[in-house]
Amino acid sequence: MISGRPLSKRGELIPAIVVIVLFSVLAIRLFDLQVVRASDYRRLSEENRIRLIPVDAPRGHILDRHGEVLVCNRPSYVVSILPFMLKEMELTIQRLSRILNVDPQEIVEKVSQRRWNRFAPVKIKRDIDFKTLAIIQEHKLDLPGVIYQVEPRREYLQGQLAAHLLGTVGEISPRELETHRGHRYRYGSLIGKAGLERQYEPFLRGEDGVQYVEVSAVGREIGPLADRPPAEVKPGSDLILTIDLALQKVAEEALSDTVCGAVVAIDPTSGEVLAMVSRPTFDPNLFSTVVPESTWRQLNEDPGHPLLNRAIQCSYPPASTMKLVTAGAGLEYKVIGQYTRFAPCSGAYKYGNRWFRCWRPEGHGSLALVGAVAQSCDVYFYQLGLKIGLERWSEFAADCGFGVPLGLDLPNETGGLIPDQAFFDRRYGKRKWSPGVLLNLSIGQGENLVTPLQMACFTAAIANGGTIYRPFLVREIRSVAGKSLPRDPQIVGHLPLSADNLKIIKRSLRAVVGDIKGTGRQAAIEGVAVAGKTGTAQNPHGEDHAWFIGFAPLDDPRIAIAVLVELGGHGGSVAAPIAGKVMEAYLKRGGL
Amino acid sequence: MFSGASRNADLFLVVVVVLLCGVGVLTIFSTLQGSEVSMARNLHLKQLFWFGLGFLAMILVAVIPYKFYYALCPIIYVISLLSLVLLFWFGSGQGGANRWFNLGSFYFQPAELVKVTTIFVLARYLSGRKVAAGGIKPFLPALLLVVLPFILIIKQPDLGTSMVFMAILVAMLYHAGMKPANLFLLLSPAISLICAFHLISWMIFILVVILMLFLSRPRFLTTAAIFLTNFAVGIITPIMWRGLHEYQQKRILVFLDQGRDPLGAGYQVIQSKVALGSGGFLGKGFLHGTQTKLAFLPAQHTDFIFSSFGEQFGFLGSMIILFLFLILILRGVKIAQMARNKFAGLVAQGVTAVIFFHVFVNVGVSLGIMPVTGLPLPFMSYGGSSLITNMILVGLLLNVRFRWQEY
Repeated sequence: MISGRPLSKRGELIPAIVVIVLFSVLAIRLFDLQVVRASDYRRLSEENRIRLIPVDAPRGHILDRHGEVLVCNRPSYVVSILPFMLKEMELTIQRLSRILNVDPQEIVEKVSQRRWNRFAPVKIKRDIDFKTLAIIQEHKLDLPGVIYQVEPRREYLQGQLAAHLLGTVGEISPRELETHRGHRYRYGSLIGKAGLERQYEPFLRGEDGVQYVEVSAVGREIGPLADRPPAEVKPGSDLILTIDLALQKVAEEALSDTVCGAVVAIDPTSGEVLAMVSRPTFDPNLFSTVVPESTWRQLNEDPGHPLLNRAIQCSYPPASTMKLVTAGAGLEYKVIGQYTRFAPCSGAYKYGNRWFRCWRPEGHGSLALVGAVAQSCDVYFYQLGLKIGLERWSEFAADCGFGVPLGLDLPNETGGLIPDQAFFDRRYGKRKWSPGVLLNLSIGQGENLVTPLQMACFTAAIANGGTIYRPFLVREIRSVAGKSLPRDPQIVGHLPLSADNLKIIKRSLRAVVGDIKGTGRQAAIEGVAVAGKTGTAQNPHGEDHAWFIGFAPLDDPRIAIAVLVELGGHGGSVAAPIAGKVMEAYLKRGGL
Repeated sequence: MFSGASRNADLFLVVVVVLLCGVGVLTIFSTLQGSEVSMARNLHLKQLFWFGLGFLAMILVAVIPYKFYYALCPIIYVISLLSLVLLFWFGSGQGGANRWFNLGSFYFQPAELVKVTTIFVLARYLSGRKVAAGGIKPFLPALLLVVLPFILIIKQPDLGTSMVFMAILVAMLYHAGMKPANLFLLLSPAISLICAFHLISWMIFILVVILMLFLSRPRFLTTAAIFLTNFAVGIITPIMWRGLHEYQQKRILVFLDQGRDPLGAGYQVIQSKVALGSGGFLGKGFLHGTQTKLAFLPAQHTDFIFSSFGEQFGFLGSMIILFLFLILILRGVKIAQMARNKFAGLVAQGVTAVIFFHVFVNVGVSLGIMPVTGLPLPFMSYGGSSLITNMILVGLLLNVRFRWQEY
């Protein structure tokens, strides 16, 4: 009947055999389950005796560069509800809410969120004290379905220290749960919400384990389920930071609690961030579990915005620190040589029909570059800026690493702003703005904005001979199994400055701190050649912002720093001493 | 041809399919017993409606001469691939997966349609005269035709459905006359990838590959290419794997087998085994499945419907279902061999491979011996796209059977 087929003549034998063999595998397995082991499974199915008990993985620790522990975990008690054991639901929840001091409506919501799996505990209140625990233990019979478990709780050993960069953890929100679906998060899981805790979440988190337990009809555990081994807890990986705890402490103390501001210290040879402080600050321990509404409101409505990391999330007018960019551009475009002098400063400069003032009303007289930087003469830089021109100036500034985020390993880094022609055209309309904006830009006022981190990296690049490193906070990720992911320095770019011109800039920076007329003398350290630049940013809303950037020692730089104090006043008298203290502490200990 | 019309219409096949669909509707009904909310969704009635539509589609597909499909298939293949691409922008789905088009009152899953169009286009290519020799050469274009939908679907991400395309490729290449040894050699890099995680098994595998190469002696370039690919895959895979962080490794493992996620599908597999096992030899009886009723199985009316059925009807019932599927699949194999037209035979072979792959993987998952991939059980699992597609596939079998004498 099938003669004359043009196709293969091997017949249907081989496919049929394959199909039959594989079906036999299914049939044998079916026989094993439904006949041989039927009685075991029937027992398990009655009252459904399998319980799944999740075991939280401890998050990885966070250590400083020398191995000092900054963040770890400690055991704490959490009160949970097993929904399927809950009897007289309303009454029990009423009682529980009174003991725990939690809104009963909140408990009902939490329990109903988890309706589909009635056999997994729902966490109601975390980190309860022993007194509450004792009360619950005492009323055990009145609280059917209420249990307590031990779970690891995040502990920030140094309190407020480095709070902004360490970050916070908190209970996963329904939206986060949706985006992380399939990655072993569940209701009540902790997740990194800010800072390093958020940035390195996949590494820190580890992997929750699960025990499958057989329970008796009344809910008592009989023992582990033979059918499937438990999934082991895998602790999260540890982060080894670039931060130096001792230096961080010095920086935290140097920047007073009462001001707003930031300090960033960087190793200029690698881009490793040695210390990072933002003021005002907060205690990340408050966030370790569920944040009480009142704490939230207090932190959110605080006019100082303590949750903001001012080192990377806020940008400020750079003031006179930006004169280094103007000076660099002038040298590099050959607008000036190091001995070029402009019209002498008499305390103000007339451009068009407007007077632009120098910060020193009595004037500086005639100055060459080193002197103009050391004394921060505005009039000198007005004239220099005009000769460079807006387009060249903003291009040069962008090449120095300003205007875009540097890619620090923290969330929400801002890039600041370097305005160019297109920017002014957009803002004021074509030709509707005066080239006079350049006068303000070249002394770091006006529209340009930088972050303290960018300033620190710029300073580090000047210090190390022109290499802009990508700043980073985590130098190594170490898993519990001993596997390690070290991180090597990355180069973002190079300062557009020749070696000779860089030397001139360095010399003028040295003069700022070392010269008798220098504005940054208060950053000086005995026996060490410190280089730096002050800045005093005019602020239309109140007192000036005080800046200081610097590095030391001059010939073999080991630390670069940027200090910003909001509404601080004069950079030389407010920011410079802070920078001096921090650099001194670092160099005194050998700088490692 | 018309004289034999009644004899050539495969009524037996239709009866088997209708039986399976009927059991499916009843089982879906039983899974809804747990709560009033799920009862109100009336999924069994909806499934009945899909069955009606599917039945019409089956007859329509069976009546149209397959020469028509032969002519049209390149166009519909391209259109169906485009629909997969569009999913990345307009698709909807759960948990980051974009598998469906939301067409107002119902959802349409284009991956289902692509199975059919890929079978067509592959059959058209492999039935071309130049391919008939059966050597290794036609492999690359055929692979390309299958890899395109494979990649688009694996990115959705839907590993199970994308693997169906590999089953189609193997079955149809075999039917086109490729020697099993060559088939093995061409697929060997994929096997090498799996073996690479265990040094000794990989070395044994490489020896087998060398042996096969020696025995079948393809041309020198082909030999070198196959050997080098196997070797490279075996060396690179472990190195890359070790370079990944543990959490990244875990993510890949869970993607390959959702059963590794002990809080999600892993729990389902346990419950599925408990449901089946507790059913025993005769089952707990219709509507008396406790596992089913208490809704321990989240996907009991879709991916885990076999466990639900097995709990209620026991070993005996499960074996009857398996037997019905076996008859259906063997029938498909037979029809593929009967067809005198090469295109028709290849289509029948591809169709049979799709049905077989779905049944084997789905039941294997329910029994806890296959990785959890989320494939539905043909004709029984709830779902319009899947049911209608399967009815269309059966329609194609009927079509080929009806015209088996044509060249």
